[in-house]
Amino acid sequence: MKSIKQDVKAWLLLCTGLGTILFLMGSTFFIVVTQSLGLYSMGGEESGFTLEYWQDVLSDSVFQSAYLYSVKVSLLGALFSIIVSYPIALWLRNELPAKVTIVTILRAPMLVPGLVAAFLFVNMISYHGILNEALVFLGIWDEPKTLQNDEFGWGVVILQMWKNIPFALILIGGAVNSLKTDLLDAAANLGSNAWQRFRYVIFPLTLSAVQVSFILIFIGALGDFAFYSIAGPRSTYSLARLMQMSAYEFEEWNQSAVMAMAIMLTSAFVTVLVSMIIKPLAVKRGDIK
Amino acid sequence: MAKLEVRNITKKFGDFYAANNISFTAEEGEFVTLLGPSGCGKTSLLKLIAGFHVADEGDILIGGKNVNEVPPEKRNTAMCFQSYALFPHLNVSHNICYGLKQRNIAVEEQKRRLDVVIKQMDLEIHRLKLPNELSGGQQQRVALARAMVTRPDVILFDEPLSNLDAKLRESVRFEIKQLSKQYKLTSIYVTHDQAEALTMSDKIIVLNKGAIEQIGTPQEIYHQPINRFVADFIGVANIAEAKVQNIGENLYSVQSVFGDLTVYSEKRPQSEHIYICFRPEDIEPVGADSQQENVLTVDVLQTAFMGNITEVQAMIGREASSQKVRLQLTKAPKPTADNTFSFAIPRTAVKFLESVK
Repeated sequence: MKSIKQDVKAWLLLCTGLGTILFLMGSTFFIVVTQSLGLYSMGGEESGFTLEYWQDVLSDSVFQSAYLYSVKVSLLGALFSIIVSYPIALWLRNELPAKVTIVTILRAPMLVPGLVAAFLFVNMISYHGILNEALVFLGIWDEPKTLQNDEFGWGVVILQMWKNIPFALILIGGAVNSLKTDLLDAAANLGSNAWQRFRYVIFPLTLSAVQVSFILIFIGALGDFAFYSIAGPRSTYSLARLMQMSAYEFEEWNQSAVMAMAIMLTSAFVTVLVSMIIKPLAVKRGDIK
Repeated sequence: MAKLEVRNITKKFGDFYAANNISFTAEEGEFVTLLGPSGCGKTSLLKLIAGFHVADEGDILIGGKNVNEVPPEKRNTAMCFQSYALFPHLNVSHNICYGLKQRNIAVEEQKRRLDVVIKQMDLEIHRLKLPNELSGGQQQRVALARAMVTRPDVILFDEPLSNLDAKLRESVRFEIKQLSKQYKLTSIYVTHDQAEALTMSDKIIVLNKGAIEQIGTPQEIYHQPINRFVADFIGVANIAEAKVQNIGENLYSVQSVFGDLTVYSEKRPQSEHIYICFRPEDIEPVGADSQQENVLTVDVLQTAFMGNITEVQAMIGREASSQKVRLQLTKAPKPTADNTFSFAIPRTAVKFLESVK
């Protein structure tokens, strides 16, 4: 009897935190799922199960290009953020003069809102911005070039990197710093050069940090609104922008719910995929082959 | 295997000398131990040999070739770390073959060498386990196998037994010694444990504050310490200032807090005023009225039974210059606290150390 009472107390205590999270997330998720299947209508119209909204959205070329753009920019942003973070994290492992100052500067982008960063970036790369003027002045280019709002989305990829490298650096830097010097010395002693030490020791032992960084950066970038609005291409929408437009400008809430589902399912798929790719790389258990 | 020569190596970290003009040689197949207290620079010296540190001055030669500019991965040394430094993401087989893979040894040869070493180290049933699934002793054996399988010119041991319990330490100690002899490994072994140094080494280098205090065989280091540091660090020694006078061929009259002693020594004292020592186990219990030479009577402070020996702490002399001495007895009589105890110090048991400055 006493044990049941204690169990109930424990569950009630958990409810304050876990319950709130589950309630908020669960109810939102429920609404989005039902809305995408026509079971719930924002406007109060008669509702019933249908896959019509899914068919509409998935066959729409605007959605398709927005989906491809968002996935592409998010993947590249996450990948490049991690690639750039590694050498910085390894460099910061060494004893450096003014290390605290360097780390503080490297983390500064986390404190700048995305919209402000995008605005500054666009100013920098604009037709008469610092970059164009400098390249023309140096004689590298004959005349300024149009760099902002490029069709591929490189501007947004660069902004994603700028914003997310400090975050990746915290996770990957933490993992790199936790590696014992003895391990790296042992690898060197057994014949590994710097690249081999990275490939065979550092990388596998920090993969869990890579996994978390990649997934979190990807999910954040997939729902990006701010960077796209200022620096994104003009001929393609991002998923978040298309979803917002669909809901608020065309009042197509059910279609918006399908897009929200697409974002969530893609995030879940990439999370599972990254975990599946990383798992066999992290540990070697078999015999010598 | 190759000969290792360390010539006038100096390494400073700030104002601290990790190595101060160190020179020694390890011949092919020789087992050399760097022995000293914590912070004396023995691990730094090992890391200088491995190439993890760069010396400020001096040369390191392996097989006659200067390796000062050679990076660690190209030195062909293998190190057994105090922490074992096994790669936690690789199983036993992959850990052992890591060095072979880095050296692009063919897979068939890797397998052949792996089979040999894994059998030798009694790790057959553990070959697919990860390091965290092994005990400390098993991990140590994997580390040893990983170092040996690459057939290095010089094998370096950095206090490899310090994390093992006493019983296991003893068995792994003999394994290392046996393998070292079997494969004629040129071995440099770092430890602060004098028992390890004495039982395993062909040559011991006693280090203190980054400098060499004495180089010699275990017997020389133990029986002929050249100064108080070595006498006190290796085993237990009762040390006192003494005035020495030559009274015959290799025969000396010695006056000290231990009393007036007659000493036979082939080693000449450095001056008339020197330090002397004798080992606690060298004494011979005698009766209080014994007419033997070099008989001392002490006041017993306390005794401790330690199994094979009884350790006695006693006070010698009653005046201001009295001094504590430690004695070790293997047989009866067993003195008791607050009583007197008489013993003789054989002529050859007293050793001359450095001059008093």
